[in-house]
Amino acid sequence: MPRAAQLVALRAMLHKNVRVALRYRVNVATRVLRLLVILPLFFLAIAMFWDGGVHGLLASETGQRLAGISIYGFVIYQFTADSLWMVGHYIRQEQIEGTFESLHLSPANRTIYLLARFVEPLVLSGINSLVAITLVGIAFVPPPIGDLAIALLAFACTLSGIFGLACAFAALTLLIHESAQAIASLAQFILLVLCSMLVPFHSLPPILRSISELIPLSYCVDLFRSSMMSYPAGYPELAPIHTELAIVALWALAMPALGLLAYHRAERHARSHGLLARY
Amino acid sequence: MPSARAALGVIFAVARAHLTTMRRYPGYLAVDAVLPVIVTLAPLLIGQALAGPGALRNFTANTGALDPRAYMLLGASQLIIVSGALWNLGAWMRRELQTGTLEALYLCPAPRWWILAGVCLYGLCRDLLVFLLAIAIGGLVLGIDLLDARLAFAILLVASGSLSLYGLSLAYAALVLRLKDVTALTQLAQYAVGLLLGAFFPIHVLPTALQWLARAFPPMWITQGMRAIMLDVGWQLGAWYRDLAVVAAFSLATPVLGFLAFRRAESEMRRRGGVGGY
Repeated sequence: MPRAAQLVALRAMLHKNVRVALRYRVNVATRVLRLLVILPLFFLAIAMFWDGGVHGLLASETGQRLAGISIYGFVIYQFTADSLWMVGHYIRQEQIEGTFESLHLSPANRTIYLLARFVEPLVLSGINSLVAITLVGIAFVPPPIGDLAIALLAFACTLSGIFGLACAFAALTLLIHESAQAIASLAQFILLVLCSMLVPFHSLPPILRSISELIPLSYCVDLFRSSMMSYPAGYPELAPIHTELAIVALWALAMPALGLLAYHRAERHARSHGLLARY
Repeated sequence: MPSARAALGVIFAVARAHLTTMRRYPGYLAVDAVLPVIVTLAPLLIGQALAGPGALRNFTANTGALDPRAYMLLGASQLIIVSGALWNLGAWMRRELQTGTLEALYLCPAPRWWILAGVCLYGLCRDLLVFLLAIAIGGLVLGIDLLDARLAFAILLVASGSLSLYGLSLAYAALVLRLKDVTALTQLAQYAVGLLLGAFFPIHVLPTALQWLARAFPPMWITQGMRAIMLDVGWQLGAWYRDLAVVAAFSLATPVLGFLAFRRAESEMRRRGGVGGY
């Protein structure tokens, strides 16, 4: 398929996806409102261990700093959770509605299909993140904006890797159907904890810290957070900045390749076994 | 009007069909059973690590519970049950809309209320199974033993509270009929449920308006009641019979309100000819 035709296909798919998404405005609005509930739920739970409860946490210096640290991890969580869930979810919707098999009869490139599906959670997560940063700025202290160049680089690499992860979950959806969606929900929580997205890595118990050091996404969180906070003492927490940059770049290059490979293999398996329309 | 026996036949047939479908996706059930443990572990480990050596003492002072593991596991299990109940009926309704079978259900001779009761019965079986699995797995992972006689009373409370819970999910299904795609709304509702039922904290830490909202939310009474039975943290209204009276009142009122909301959304949808639309 020529490159120009691929771009036309991508544009057409994006246009269609946006139109369908806007058909359900309440759904779009609630995706932004979600974060108003997630953050208080998590903070109230942590506050129960604090001397003086919620008031004690809000009044302490550690609590104030925690809000700043959390918000940048929360940005990464937003993108990770939405992408993990949504790409597989859309495939599942197409299977249920019976349009997934016919999609495979069209000459449209499947990688472009996945890319088009990835854009919607990307845009909504972007809006979510801006709202969250503004809210934390109003409720606590404005989050610092430090080394923007490195932060943006880390963020772009993170997104590239997340795309690969989303493709891998889409592959899983083709293989194990509904269970993959449940696993995606579980994976969101596991990554939230293990990649220490809402709290500093030093607050993790040793065993969790050891596991988190094995996950490349942890380095993305650490590098993004540290650079946005202008590298305060002890940050980045997991490795020196150059090592983290190398790991994050590797994640950005390898994950999409692995994810797409997994998806195309799963798709081939589903086609050869006549399972594309099965749900 | 068909007999009560026929009604029971429909209800059990629908529940059995859903249970058969559930067996098709064992991973889903496994994740639901493990999720409360993961959800408990996150604030438990991080809260203790951040708060330092006085963490346990502070927890007892803030919640009245001696063991944060049991307190949070019970809250997380109830959170999964409630969000599962909302999700099951709403997702089923959406699925029927998407596959085009909801319209066919309206043409079949079985009253829809029996079909809905069948879906709710399936939900109750599934939720109780998930609750038991979560308590057992959570007990193993967290090193606590909640499998004693008091658990039977807690299960009784959960089962008796299911009437109000499925009344709520009926109202939620009405929302699905109106708004169609409620995936994000369901996710929002799941987190909001966590706040309102006090999954990880007593509701008195919420702002006053939210506290009143929580008191109007039947699952909060079940969760706090469960904790009162199993962890001796005290009843919301000071005595077990007062709390149970509130649960009973909700069990009567919520299904009626859910029924009215559903019937209204349904008749509006039928009037507009939107039964097959999604």
